[in-house]
Amino acid sequence: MAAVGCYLLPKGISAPTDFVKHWTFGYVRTLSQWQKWDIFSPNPLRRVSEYRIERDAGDRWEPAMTLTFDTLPWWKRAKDLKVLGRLEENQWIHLAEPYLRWHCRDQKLSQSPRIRLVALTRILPFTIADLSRYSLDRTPPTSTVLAIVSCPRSI
Amino acid sequence: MKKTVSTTGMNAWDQFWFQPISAVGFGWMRIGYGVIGFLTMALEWSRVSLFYTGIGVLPHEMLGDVVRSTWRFSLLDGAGVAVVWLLYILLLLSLLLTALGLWTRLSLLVSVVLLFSFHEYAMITLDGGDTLMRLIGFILLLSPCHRAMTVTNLWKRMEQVRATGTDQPEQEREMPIWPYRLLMWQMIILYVASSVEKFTGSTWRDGSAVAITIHHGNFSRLSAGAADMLAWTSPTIGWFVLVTQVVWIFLLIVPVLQWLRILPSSTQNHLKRALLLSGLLIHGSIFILMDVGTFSLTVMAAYAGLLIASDFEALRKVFNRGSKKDPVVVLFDGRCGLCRRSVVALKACDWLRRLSFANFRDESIRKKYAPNVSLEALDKEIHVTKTKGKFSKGFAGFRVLTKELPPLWILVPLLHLPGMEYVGSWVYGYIARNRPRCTDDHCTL
Repeated sequence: MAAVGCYLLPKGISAPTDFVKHWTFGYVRTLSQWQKWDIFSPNPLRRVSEYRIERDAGDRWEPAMTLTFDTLPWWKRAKDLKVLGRLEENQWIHLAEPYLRWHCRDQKLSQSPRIRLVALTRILPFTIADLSRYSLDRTPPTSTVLAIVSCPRSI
Repeated sequence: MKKTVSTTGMNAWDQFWFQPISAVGFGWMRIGYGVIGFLTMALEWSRVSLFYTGIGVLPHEMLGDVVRSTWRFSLLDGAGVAVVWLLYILLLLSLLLTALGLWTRLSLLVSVVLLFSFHEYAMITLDGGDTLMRLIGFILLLSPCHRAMTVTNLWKRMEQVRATGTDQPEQEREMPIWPYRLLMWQMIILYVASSVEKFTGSTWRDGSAVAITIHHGNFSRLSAGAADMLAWTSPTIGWFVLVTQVVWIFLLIVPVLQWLRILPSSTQNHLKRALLLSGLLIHGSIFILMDVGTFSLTVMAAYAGLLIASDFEALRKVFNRGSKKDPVVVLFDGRCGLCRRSVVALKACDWLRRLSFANFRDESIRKKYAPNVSLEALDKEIHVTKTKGKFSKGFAGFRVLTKELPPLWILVPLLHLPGMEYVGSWVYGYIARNRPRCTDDHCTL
């Protein structure tokens, strides 16, 4: 537990903790004891996104699937929205393409042209007074294309 | 003098790590780990290939870009789709067996290794609940949590009672205290680290954090209107969460003050119960108001591991408040192996300690509890008494028992449906007529 506690501390905080950290790093990582307790912190996530998988219809992109809290079934939404939220972040964005390719297989889109993953994002305000006036309809979302892929012919 | 000091020191050391405590709390935590783990993973059935195979979101060739290259293992690295499915089914099976307590040590080991493998591979899917699940799985693996709340143990108790007539002593359902301490320190680390993280942001301090979370369209179950209505509570709830999390550090400090006799010896237990209650309130509310994965449920499983015998006793007092002081007496046939084993099963369900058992084959006991009931009548069907001299017999007796035994509470409404008395009596009569008939030495069908 001392090792786990030291692992959580930022580097360079004190010589003894750095020493413990150095010698127990392998143990903490190998036995999957790594942890970072930043749930809803330092501030809760303010980015609210609606995700769409869109199909190339020649002159426009037409929606094939909408992935939101309301459209996903209860047993899927926490995990799926977690994964989609991460695909918006720099660390994971390059996995958006494989994510879409999996949809090619899952939705049997072998003869389909290109599909893309789009995030429509709004940022919640910081203060309670603004939140109470906050309305999804009033704030225009920012649209970001996370990935575009062509579904392979043979799946 | 030197010897006395060293002996006292050794005793204190021994007490600190090896003092026996009830293993029931850890048994409950193991059940929680197994059930929550099983349900979480089972719900991913349709997305196994998406999350955990090379044809999904993480192709094998990209693995090096997103996971660390050293101090890591996962049985899923490079595994084909068929192998991943095999491991997935093995994981589900091991979690189920862990919850039931069948081949507990082995199933726990398999489930922990596989859970680590699945988590280390699909890190993009992980949330706080998954992390905590892994951590309590590891603590469970180190502990002798198989000593209580397992089907294997219940079976062993039944066999012992059948063979010797005496039940397993309580001590066999105890464990040393060190796994409990490990878990306590883990929870202290979790809450204190979480509160430090929150203090570094501005929204928890200025009171808008809770309002932001309940307005969040990706996980709040509340409508925008309901979130608006509750937003004013945000500063109070936010500070309550912060303070509650910080106070966990006192569970480290208070034992030292108790040891120095600055605080009374019961302080830590009272503080722990207060923190567990606050935690139940906070995590219960999160579970109801938000869909953020399994964190709330997993925390509650961990809380179960923090309960020791005195906590269960306190819980019993709360639940038994208002109920009659005298226990419900169940008259049973002490010569019949099936009946003796049934008594063990009833004892295992008697969490509120409301039952007392009396062997009607013992003349003095029969005279005490049922002087006016013939041996033939007692032999024919179960007799249960709440008030001396008044008996509920057969199916009615079973119905009385279901009200006293928490695991059977779920049956209470069912057993009181119209017509159930007739059906239940018929089923009970059939089983009773066909149960093994016993003499002093043996039973026959």
